[in-house]
Amino acid sequence: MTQAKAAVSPEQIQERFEQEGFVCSPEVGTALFLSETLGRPLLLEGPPGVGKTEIGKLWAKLHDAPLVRLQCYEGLDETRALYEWSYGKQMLYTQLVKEKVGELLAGAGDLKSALGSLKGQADEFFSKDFLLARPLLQVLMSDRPSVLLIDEIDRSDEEFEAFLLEVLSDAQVSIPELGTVRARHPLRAILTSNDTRELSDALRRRCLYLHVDYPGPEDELRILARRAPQLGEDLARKVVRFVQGLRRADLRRAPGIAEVVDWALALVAVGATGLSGADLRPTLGALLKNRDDIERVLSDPGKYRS
Amino acid sequence: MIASLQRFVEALRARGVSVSPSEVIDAVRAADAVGPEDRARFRAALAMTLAKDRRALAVFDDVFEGFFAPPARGGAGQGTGERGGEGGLAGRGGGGAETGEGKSAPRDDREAQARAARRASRPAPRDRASARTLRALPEHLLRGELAKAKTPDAAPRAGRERARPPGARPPAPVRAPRAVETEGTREPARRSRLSRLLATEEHRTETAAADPRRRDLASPMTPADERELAREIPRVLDEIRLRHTRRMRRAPRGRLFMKRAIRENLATGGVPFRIPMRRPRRRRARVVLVVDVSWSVATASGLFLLLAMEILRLDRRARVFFFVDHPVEATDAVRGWLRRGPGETGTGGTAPHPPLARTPARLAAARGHGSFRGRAPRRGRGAASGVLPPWGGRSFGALLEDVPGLDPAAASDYGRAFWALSEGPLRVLARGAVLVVLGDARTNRFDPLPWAFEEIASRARRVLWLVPEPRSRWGTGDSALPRYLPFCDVAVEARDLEGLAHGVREMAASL
Repeated sequence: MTQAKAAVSPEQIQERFEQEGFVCSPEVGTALFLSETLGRPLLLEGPPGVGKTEIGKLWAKLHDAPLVRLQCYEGLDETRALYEWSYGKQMLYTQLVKEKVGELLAGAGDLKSALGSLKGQADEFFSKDFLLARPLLQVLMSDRPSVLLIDEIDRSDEEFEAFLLEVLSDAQVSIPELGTVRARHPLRAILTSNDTRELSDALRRRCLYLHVDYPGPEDELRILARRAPQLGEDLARKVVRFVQGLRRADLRRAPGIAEVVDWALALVAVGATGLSGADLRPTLGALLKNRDDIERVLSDPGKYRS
Repeated sequence: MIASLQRFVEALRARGVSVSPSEVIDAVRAADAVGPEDRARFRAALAMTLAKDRRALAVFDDVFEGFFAPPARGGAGQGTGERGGEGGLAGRGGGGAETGEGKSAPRDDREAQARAARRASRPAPRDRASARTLRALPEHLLRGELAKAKTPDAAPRAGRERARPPGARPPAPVRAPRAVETEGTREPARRSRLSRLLATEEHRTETAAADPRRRDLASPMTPADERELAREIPRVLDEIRLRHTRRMRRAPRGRLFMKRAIRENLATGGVPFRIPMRRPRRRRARVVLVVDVSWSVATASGLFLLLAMEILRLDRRARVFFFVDHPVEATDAVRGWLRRGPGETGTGGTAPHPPLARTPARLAAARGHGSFRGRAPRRGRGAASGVLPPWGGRSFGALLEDVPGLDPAAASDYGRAFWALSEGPLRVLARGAVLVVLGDARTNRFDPLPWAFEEIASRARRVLWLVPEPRSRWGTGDSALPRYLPFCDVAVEARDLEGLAHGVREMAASL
């Protein structure tokens, strides 16, 4: 990648995203630009399947920086997210240096002097050599600036959210045995949330917030033209109208962008010319991932076509 | 620009959006980085620094439209003022007739404008402290922050690349967008206590219109309101469940568990890498719910049981009593009511709670069937007592009619109900229990017999009372609440979904 690294303006970010095949709204461009300028993490919230994670990946790509991704889940804690002491390695080394320790202590007359001569050495077992760096620490300690993607933060526990605050606001973490580790480069962080639960105010306050919604008909048409050009403009329009109709209906799970693209490709594969029942039946599984939804749509597809 | 941004922030706060000083600084820097030329971008920049959730975004849109006039309108200050007035009206309209508002706006223009100005000058109560901080955060400080952001050497985060490399377009001159400026925005006027109270109420109804969780359960609801409320229920359930099932690793507590320490560290040659601690196990308290189910509070009761049983689903010792004029045990009836269908068994050994991933689906299901089904009002039960579990099933109203020995249309008699409970089942059950009472204590001038309630309360470990009425009406008319409250540990104003959820969280915290 030869592009200049600094983000110069929202327009340019938007342009580069478009070059990468991502239809980028002005809001997304502005958000990324501001996140860079103000040095704040960016919190993207919205329904699943609107491309939040994709934004993070592309952001890393544009910066030609490695993407470090932290997938959140219920019960995620700092040993999985930040660091852990490598107990096994510590054990192994203890065994290996056992004899050496014997030599060291040979001269010591009593317990006190033995402890004294060990004091300086014990810290060796809690040095960076025995540290297993998990994603967050990897980002902070890496030599190159990287992009940190904290995915689906709403799945994690509240405690974990609170724990993230130090990283997000000061780009540093405190490890009791080692001290404070500061980021060597400005932290570029993107957080995504599916809004299944309310995030804390403290977290929101430290981030820029962008609500990413399903694209409008025009944008969706452009996405289809990029990702499934074989579809033809006429059918693409029908597809978009149908999908927008589905999203307005109260389905159990509304289709995301990736599913729409899959469906378009499926329609191409079966050689569909329109959206008749015969075209829908075999392909609808690419779009809707719930039996009730599929049955409901198949029972009256005409309702969503208008 | 800084001054108008500050006023804009105050207007946001007046509408209940909490904005911290650091966010204001961010907003100033963001606005400067983007420049006011492109309205959409300028708006996006302010939105992402000042409005941090969907609720706040809705308010932001409203206030922004009224505050920063679109360039196309091009009129003088008068035009912008008009928009401000409209925004204020629309915000209060809620589920009402939206078509009429546009027309009535010019007529009420002056009054609405004045109201908007008054609102803008008044910080929301919980924001008062940070508003004070902001005022103490003088303009020159913000300017300084801005200047710092511009000079790369003094940038707050050292090592950050410059926003604009030398070749790029020069920084845009900072021009102030035209803002609504009325007397009220400059100098907060002194107001009498009454008008302040009225204003709080106005603000409250305004936010209530925007937020289904804040909607008064006792007020009549349109089907659209009910749908919105129904949509909110699964989210509240999830929030309660998530808060209740925290699983983060905690700091070691208790005493050293020597036996296990030796056994567990055998593998590491006796080097104690794992240090197990022994904690005294506290037995969970029994929960006893005593719920007034007369039609007047049935909506709140039904919703409360929905939320509370989410936590008590696996608690075999929890008991539920309904009462109107006398108490009836309803534990089994409520459990049966809330039992999920075969497709959604939440009970059973392996998965105590339905997986979270299923939530949006259930939420969507709730949209389809509606947690509230608009039934024809009968005997004053109102449409609202058609509370349904999000996963479908019978309405709460239907349940109440089926509980033997219960007549929800009878006149409430708290005294007799408490007396019967203290002599009967709660004589034993209340001992060491967490007692949760839901009711308005409107006892139709029957003797409230507070000593009977004291009997029960004195046996319980903790007593919570959820009142489905605004605090201002507690103890008015035939309400005997002040007679009972001295024996309660916590009283919660549970007039809306948020209040009920708060009560349930209190309950979960005292287990």
